[in-house]
Amino acid sequence: MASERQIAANRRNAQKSTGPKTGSGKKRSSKSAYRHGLSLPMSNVGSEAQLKDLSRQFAGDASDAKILALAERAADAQLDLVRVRKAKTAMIERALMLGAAGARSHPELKELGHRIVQNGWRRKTQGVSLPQPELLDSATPLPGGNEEEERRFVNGVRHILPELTKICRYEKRAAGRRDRAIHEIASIKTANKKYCSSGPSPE
Amino acid sequence: MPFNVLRTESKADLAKIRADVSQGIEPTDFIERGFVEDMVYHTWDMMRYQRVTTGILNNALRKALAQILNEILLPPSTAMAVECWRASQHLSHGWLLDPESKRQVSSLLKEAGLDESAIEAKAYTLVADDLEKANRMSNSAREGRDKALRSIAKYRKNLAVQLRRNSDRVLAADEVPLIANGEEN
Repeated sequence: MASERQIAANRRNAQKSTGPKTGSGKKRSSKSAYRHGLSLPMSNVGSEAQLKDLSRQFAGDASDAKILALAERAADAQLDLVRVRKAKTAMIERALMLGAAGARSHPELKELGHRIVQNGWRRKTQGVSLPQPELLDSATPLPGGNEEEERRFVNGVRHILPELTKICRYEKRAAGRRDRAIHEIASIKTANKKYCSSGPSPE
Repeated sequence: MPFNVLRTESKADLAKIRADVSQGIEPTDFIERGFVEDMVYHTWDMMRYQRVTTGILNNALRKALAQILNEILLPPSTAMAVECWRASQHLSHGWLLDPESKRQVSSLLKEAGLDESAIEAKAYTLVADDLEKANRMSNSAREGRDKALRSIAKYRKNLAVQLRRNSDRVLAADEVPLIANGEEN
């Protein structure tokens, strides 16, 4: 167990390391927990003009303050949705590119392919004769043209499935926010029409 | 807002799906067009994950076959293990491309009391985790598509109520007889 003197020394030392002190240090450490920025509402990062334009379209001809606020919420969520979907596409594209480059340039794969072609196959097993395996060279494209591309796509997506699952949550959340705002707008419009109607109630 | 397809995906196919869905739904305003775009997006996503699911399984078939053949060919002594591994690799590679390799594989499987369904079963076990993830993503896309469809229905219901009330108001203002008698001309 630490003595009183040690505890006091620890407390004194702890006072000396309380995080960054300079402005730039604080700015840098503020981004320590930043992963992808997808949970940040679009209104904080997007263009104001785009948001206003989209809000107008969601509001239609309404001038009610409540509807306008909801329309802005719907527009914000819609821009979030677009951002998340773009990120998802970019993620798959990157996996496709890296996957392909990685497979082609992997030294062990190249070496293995080379060794197999050089050595050939002379094995006879249980009376089954085996022809030479020239197709096993990793630089040889597979027949069928697009088969190679398809395999690259599948492998690329397969490797990022956990990330895609995470991004899907943001997508659902943004879509939910937008849909709720849209349905609230529609309900208010319906209620307003009922209130303004001078004719008899249809029911 | 239209979305981007991958550079390996067909824009023409997407345009066809978009046209088909639009034709079926016939969106009338900005919001309905948005829901239609959501449906197209999720349909496309579903197709993408179905492709991935099939691909994952197909890609695992060769490895699965190699493992099965390795088990069949491996002699009791491990001295020939490398040779057996090579033979398994070679046969599994040629299995989908070369009829002769296919015949050899079939005969080896038959000797071991197996058939080609054993390859698929082994492949499933090799990639079960990834298949489950891909299926989950595909189901999520399906849910998204169905939700967009329900949203259109709900939105249209609200719209129908509004339209009915408007029409009732017009009826109450006695504008219909004027139109019926053609007196406005």
